[in-house]
Amino acid sequence: MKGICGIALRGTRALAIEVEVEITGGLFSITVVGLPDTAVKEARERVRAALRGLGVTLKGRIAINLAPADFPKEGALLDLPMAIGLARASGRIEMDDNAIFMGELALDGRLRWVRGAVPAAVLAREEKTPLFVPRDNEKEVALVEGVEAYAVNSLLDVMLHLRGEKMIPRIGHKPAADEEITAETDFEDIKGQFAAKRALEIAAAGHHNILMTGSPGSGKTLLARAMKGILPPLSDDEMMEVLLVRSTAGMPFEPSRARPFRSAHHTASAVAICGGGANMRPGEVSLANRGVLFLDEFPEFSRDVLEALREPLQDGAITVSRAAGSVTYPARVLLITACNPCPCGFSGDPAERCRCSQGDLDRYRKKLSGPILDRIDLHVSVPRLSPEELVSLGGGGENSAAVRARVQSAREIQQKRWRKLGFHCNAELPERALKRGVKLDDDVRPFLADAMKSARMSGRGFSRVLRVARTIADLEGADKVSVRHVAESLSYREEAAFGNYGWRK
Amino acid sequence: MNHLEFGASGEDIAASYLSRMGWRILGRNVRVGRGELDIIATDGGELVIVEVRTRRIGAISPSETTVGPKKIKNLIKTARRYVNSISYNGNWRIDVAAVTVTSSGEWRVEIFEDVTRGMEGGYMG
Repeated sequence: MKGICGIALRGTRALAIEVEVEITGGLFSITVVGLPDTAVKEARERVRAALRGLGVTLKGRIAINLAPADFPKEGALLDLPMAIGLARASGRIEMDDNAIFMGELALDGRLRWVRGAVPAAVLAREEKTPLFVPRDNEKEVALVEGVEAYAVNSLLDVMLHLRGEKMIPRIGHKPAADEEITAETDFEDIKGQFAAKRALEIAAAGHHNILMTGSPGSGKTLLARAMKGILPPLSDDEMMEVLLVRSTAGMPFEPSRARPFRSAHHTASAVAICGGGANMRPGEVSLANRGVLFLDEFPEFSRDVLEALREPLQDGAITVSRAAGSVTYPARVLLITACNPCPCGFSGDPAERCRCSQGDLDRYRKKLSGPILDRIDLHVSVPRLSPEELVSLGGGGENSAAVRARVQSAREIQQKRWRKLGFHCNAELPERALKRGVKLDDDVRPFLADAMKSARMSGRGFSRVLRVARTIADLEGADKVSVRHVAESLSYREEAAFGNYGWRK
Repeated sequence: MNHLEFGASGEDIAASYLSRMGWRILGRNVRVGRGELDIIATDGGELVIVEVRTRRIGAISPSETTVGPKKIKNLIKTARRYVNSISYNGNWRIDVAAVTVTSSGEWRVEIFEDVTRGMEGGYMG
């Protein structure tokens, strides 16, 4: 990159766009070339007005070229580099060094917040180039270490700085504070549901996807929301990923180490969940990267969405391909899903009677395909509490902070163990690594063989039991997996949780 | 005085007004192909093509508003042709001189500078 640059976004990466300006004699006109979209074309009005406010009256025929010419440019973030380019071409500033500028201009020359400041900061750091961003983007840019960035209020600020008349202080690196993570709901505020809480703890520890099945009002949503409180804080690298996606999507960011929690409604389209659209924005699964994606009423989601989720759940990334090109977004999520046991919601409930016919049940259960269920390691039933339990005081058990401490140490153990193989958590383990890497107690093999026989378990089911058992052992800090761990793991199989009412027949 | 004479005297008024402002008048009623440019002048810096519009006060629309999109398009076309024909490379612009006759018979001139500025989207392609 050379000279005055702006940026264009490609996925979560910023691409340097060189802004070249040529002014020749003639009737005043501005032409922008280099595949600008409407917002970029309209920049000439904003730029002209903002420059006139500073006493720069543009003359002649002006051509602005945005290079590389074959890459589509979009959005108002190129306003500032275009204005600076024009100011230089008309001799109002001198500038020989390279610099990246971004910002949307107001007609009076103020600068407005734009999306993509974090990817731009990463690019500026790689290129060792100064970066100028609007004041409103300062906070996000401050989270990126080692970048020479300046926050500016207006076009005038930039011009004075470049002329050396009034220097702007450099943005200092301000890492996110290690504050206490709080969820709206603490585990100890949820009465009963110990099995579900335990399952969530295991899910959080081993990054296992989970399906909660329970009648309406039994607390599935509450439990899912409380999950945020037992997840360990984001590491610096993870936070950078989260930051990049949010900045690309144009979402405000609070510098916090809490993991993202996104919940999507079942009417959501595949594009909303997976990303895409004309400008290839990230979807919910990417916005939930390194955090939790909660899908309530899971079987009600359209088939497209469920099938589209398979790739990100498998690879931890999603590639969106359109005519305009393809981009890859990170999509490493912990999937929490919830559903009713049957269409009316009361199958298996002790108090209410289920009114569904066998046909209804079959239809409802057929909605979840085998491949997507294969990616769910934990199945747990969330029954409704009895009136006595609900009315009684207390009964919430441990608080989230205590659970989180266990989860965190279990994750550290896993990271240490699998680092050589390139995995982070038990849920990622392929079968080969599973067989070699998981140490078992001597009496586990016969026990497993028995269980497999009586439950008619498949090979894949077996792997899943082993993975979950490994996580349970890690939560205890145990080096080897014992019969007890396997036994608990067996109870989270769908067949165990629902007997004949399992999702698959 | 018919409408042609009225218009011509408006152009005279505008031209003398511009001279008094220090502009140099380079030509009047210059025919370029099918079109005609009312006044060609220079304000010291740029070449200026001046379109003169004359109205009596109380006319349905004031002088300066009688230059519509079609007129602008034609003006730009004719002016471009002229500028090319004299091989001029510098900056130039199009001004509108709005001449108004008041009820007491006085003439008033107002100059609207660079009327095509910012019209790239609409008229200039």
